[in-house]
Amino acid sequence: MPENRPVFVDSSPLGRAGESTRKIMYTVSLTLVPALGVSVWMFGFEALRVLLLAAVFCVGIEFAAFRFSSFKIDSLDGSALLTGILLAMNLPANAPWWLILVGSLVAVGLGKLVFGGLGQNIFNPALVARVFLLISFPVQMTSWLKPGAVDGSTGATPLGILKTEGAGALAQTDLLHLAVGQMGGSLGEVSAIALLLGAAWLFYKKYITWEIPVTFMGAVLVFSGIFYLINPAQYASPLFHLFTGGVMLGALYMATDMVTSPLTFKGKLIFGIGCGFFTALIRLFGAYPEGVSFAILFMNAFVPLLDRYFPDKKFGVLKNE
Amino acid sequence: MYEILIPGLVLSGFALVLSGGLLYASKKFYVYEDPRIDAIEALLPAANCGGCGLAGCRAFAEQAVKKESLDVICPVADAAAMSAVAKVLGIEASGADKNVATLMCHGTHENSKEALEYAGIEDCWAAMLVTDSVKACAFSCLGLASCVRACRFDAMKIENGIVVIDEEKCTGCGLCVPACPKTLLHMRPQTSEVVVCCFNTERGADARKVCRVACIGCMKCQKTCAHDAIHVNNFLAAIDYGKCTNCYECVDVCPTDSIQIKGKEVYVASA
Amino acid sequence: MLHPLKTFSRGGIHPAYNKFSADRPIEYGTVPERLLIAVNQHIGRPLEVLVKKGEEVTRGSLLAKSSGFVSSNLHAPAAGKVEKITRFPQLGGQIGETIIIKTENPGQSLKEILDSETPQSLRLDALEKEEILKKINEAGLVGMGGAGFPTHVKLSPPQEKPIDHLLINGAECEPYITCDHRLMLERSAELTRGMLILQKLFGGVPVTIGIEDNKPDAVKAMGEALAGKRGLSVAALETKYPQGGEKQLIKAILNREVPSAGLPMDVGVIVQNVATTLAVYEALVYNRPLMERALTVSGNLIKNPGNILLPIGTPVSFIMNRFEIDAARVRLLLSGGPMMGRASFSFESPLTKTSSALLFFDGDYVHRRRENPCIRCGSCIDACPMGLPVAQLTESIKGNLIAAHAKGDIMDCIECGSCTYVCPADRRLVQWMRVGKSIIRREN
Ligand code: SF4
Ligand code: SF4
Repeated sequence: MPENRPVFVDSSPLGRAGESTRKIMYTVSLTLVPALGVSVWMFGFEALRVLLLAAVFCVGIEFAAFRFSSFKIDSLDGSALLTGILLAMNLPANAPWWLILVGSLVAVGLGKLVFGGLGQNIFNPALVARVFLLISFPVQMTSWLKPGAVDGSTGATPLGILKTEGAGALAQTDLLHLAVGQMGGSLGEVSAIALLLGAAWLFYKKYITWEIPVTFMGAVLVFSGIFYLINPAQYASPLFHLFTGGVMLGALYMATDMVTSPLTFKGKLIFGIGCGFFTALIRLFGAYPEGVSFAILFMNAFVPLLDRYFPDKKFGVLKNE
Repeated sequence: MYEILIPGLVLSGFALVLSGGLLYASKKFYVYEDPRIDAIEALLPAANCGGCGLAGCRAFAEQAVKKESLDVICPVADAAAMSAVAKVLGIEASGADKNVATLMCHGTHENSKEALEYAGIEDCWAAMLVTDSVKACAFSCLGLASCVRACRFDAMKIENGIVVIDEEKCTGCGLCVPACPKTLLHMRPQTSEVVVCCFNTERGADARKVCRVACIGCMKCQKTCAHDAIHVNNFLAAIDYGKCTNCYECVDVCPTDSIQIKGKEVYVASA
Repeated sequence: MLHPLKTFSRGGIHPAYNKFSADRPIEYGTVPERLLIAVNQHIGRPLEVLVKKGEEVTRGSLLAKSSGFVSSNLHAPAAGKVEKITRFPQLGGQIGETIIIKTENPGQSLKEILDSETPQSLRLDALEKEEILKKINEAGLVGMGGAGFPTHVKLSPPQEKPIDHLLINGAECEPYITCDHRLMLERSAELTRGMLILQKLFGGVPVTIGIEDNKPDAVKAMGEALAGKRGLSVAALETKYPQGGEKQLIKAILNREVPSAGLPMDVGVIVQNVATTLAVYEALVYNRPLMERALTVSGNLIKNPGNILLPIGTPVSFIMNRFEIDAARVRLLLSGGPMMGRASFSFESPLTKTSSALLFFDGDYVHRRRENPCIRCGSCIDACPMGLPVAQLTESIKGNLIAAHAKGDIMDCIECGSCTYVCPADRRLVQWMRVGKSIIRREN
C-alpha cells in the first residue's frame, strides 16, 4: 500500500442509494421474461429467434457506433438491450432476419443515437422502429403466426378481424383466452397477465409509477366503452380492447419509458390520458387496426411541453403564482 | 396527363405570386447600408468570438464603419487582414503585436504534489466550491480545463496537471482569461519571451514547501535586471513586458526556475 | 401510535442511518498540544484578530472580535501562547487564516476545566431581553448544526416579523451523527433551561423540540424534562431525511410553509439547534463563551465510534490518535454527515464551532463513477424536498443557459443532497446546483 495516498474530496453528498442506470435497464429487461416465456410457449422457437436477433443487433449497432465515432457510449448499459427486447416484442414471430436488422438500425440509430444518445431521444426507439417497419413493410408486419401453429400458418389478430369483419365476428372469443395470451399478434402483445406480472415488480421497485399505466388503460376503457354503449353490435367491448393488441405492453412498458415520458405528476396524467384516447380513436375510426404505437409516439412529442407547463408544486410557492 | 398538369400549374402560379411579393417587399422596405460594412465583415475571421468586446464580427464591422476608425481591434485577425480592413476605411492600421494567453503557474504533478484526489465535476469553478486547491500549492492551476472549454481555437490542453497553450493556435482573443477562477491566465505580447510562472504570494519558505518551482520572492531577479523590467511585490516577481528585452538575465539567476523562457520551458526544477 | 407521526409532506429519502455511536455517552476530551483556531468560523463579516505572535492567552480570552452586527467573537479555549498566525487548510476544504496556540497544559482533561467553573444563580424573570442578546453576542455563539450563522442575529428578527413559535431542532436526520441525540439524553435538564431562556426572549411563546422517532429514548427523556413547563413541548417526528432542514422542520411540526426565498421568521418561527440552545444556557449561566463542542466520531474505519467533547481548534490528527485510526487507510475524511458534510484533505485541519461530526471512511465508501447521461427517471424530482425540477435545472446550469424564471428555483435549493443520493446516472446534481447558485450570485 503506497504511503500517504491523498484523500478524496468531492461535493456533498458522499453517500449514494446505490441505484444505477445499468441496474434499472437490466431489471426492466428481466421483468419482461414472463411475457417472453409466454410468447415462446405460443410461437415456439421462432419467437426465441426474433428475440435473440433483435437483442444482438441492437447492442451490436450501438457498440459499433461507439467504436467508430467519438461519442462515449456505454453500449452495455442495458438500454440497447432493452430497446432490442422491446423491439422484438413488437414484431411478429415470423419476422425475417432482414426485417429485424432494419428495425434495429432504425431503433438505435434513428430512434436514439441521432438525438445524442441515451436520455436525449424524444421518441421511444422501439416504437419508432415498429412504426417505420409497419409503414414500410406492411405485409411482413401484419402476417401473424397463429399461436401454437406448428405448420407455420398465419392468421389475423383479433383486432384485425374486428377492423375487417366487425364485432360480430368476434362473438366466440373468450376474454380469458385473450388475457392468457391465446391470440395472434406480435411477441409482446399476446399475454396481458404475464406483462402485469413483470410490471408488478417494477411497481414494487418504483421504477414505474401508477400514473401513466392507470390513466392509459382507464382512458382506453372509457372511450371505447362510450361507443360500446352506443352500439354494442358495431363496437367491441372495452375489456376486449384492453386485453388485445399492445395496450398492456404499451401502457406498462412503452409509455412508461423513463426517457420519453413526462417528469411531473400532472404531466404524467395528461400523457396517459392522451395515449389512451388516441389509441381508442385510431382503433375505432382509423385505417389501422392497432393504434397504441401511434398514440404513444404522438404523445411523446408533447412531453417537453407537458413538463414545462404542468410543473409539480414547489415548496413555498403559492398555487397561482 | 391532366392529373399532373393541374397541380404543376397551380404550384408554379403560387411560386410566381409569392416571389413577386418578396421582390416588392425587398424594394419597398430597402434600408441603405454602408457597403463597407459587408466589405469589412468579409475580411474578418468570422469566428464571432467576441474577443473584441463586441457581439461578433458583424458588430465589429458596423462599429468600425460608424466611427471611421479602428480604436477597437480584432485580436484574432492577423496584421495583413487588419491593414486590409484599415484600407477599406481609408486609414492607417496600427501595428499592434499579437497577444497570447500565458499561464502563471508551473505546478505540474512533479512540481506541486497532489494534496487530494478530486472526484467531483470536472470543472474548475465547480471544484472551487468544494476545495481551494487540489495540489499542495493553493494558488496552482487546478487542471480541470475550464479555460480549455472556453477556448474556441483549440489552442489549450491539459498536460501533466497544468494548462499548456499552443501559441501558434492562440489568437489572443482573451476568452480564457475570465474562465479561470484562480485568475492564473493573462495576455502577453508574443514577442515577450520571459515569463514568471508562479502566482504564489506566500512567504518564500512556505511557497517553497508546496512547490519546487515557486517564486520565493528572493529579489535576485529584480537586482539583476538591467532594464528595470522585473519587480518583486508580495513575495512574487512580475515582469513589465513593456520594458523586458528578452536578455534572459533573470532566468539564469532564479534559484527555483520559476522564471521561464516561453517555448523553452524547463518543466522539472533542478533540485 | 394513534396519530401518524408528523413529517414534511414533499420529497425526502431514507438513507441508511448507521447511528453506531447512539449508545456511547459523550466523553470528556483533553487539551491537545496545539490548538489551531480558524479565524472565520461563521457566516458574516470577517473578524478582526486581536492577538499577536508570542502573546500569552488564557482560557476565554478574546482572540478575534466581531467587526459588525452579522459577525461573531472568537475565544481561546485553553491557556497558552500564540505561536503563529498563518493560512491553513480548514475542514471545509478552503484555506483560511488560523491562529495557532501552543497550550500550557496539554493533556489536561476538559472535565477538570469545566468542573472548576461555577454557575451563577440565574433568575429568569429578572433577565432583560437586551442582556440575554448581549451575552449571546459576546459569547460568540453561532448555529452549531453546520451553517454557522451568528445566533444573536438570528434571535433579533426585525420588528415587523413577530415570532409566535420557537422550534428546537433535535431531528438529527443526518446518518452517523449522534451528538445531539446524546446531548438530549444526558443534558435534558440544562437543555430545558436553555429553552426557557429562549422562550423568555420572545415573551413566553411556545417552544417545541422536534425529535425523529428513531431516537425514542430522547423523546422520552425530553418529555420528562419538559413536563410541567408551560409552553414547552416535544414533537415526535417520522424519521425522514432532511427533516432537520429548517423549512422542512417547520412544515413538519407547524404545517407552515416558508415562502420561496423567505426565512423562517416570515412565518413567525425561529429554529435553533440543540447544541446551540445548550450553548445559550452556558453563556448565561456560566458566562462561558463557545469554546468546546460535542461531536460524533464515526465512519466505517472506526472500531469504537463515539461522542466526545473537545475544545474548538483541536486538530483532526489528535482525534485520530485518540480513536486509534490508521491514517494510511483513511481515504475520505468528512466533517459533518455524509449527506451535507464537507470532505477535507488535511489531517491537521482543526475543529470549528460547526463541526458536528468527523467521519473516517476507507476507499470502499468513496464514490468515483463518472457522470452518465440523465435518463429522466424523475427520482431526483421525487426526492427533492423543495419540489424543484432538479433534472431540468441542472441541465440548464450545465449548458450555462439558466432561464430567468429558473433562478429563484435554483436559489431555493437547500443543498440537502437527496437528489444526488438517488440519481441512478451518478449525476452530481447538488454540485451543479451550487455551481448555478454561484453563477447567479456572480451575475448580481
Ligand atoms: S435540488 Fe437541492 S433541495 Fe432539492 S433535493 Fe437536490 S439538494 Fe435537496
Ligand atoms: S435522478 Fe438523475 S437520472 Fe433521474 S431524472 Fe434526476 S438527474 Fe436524471
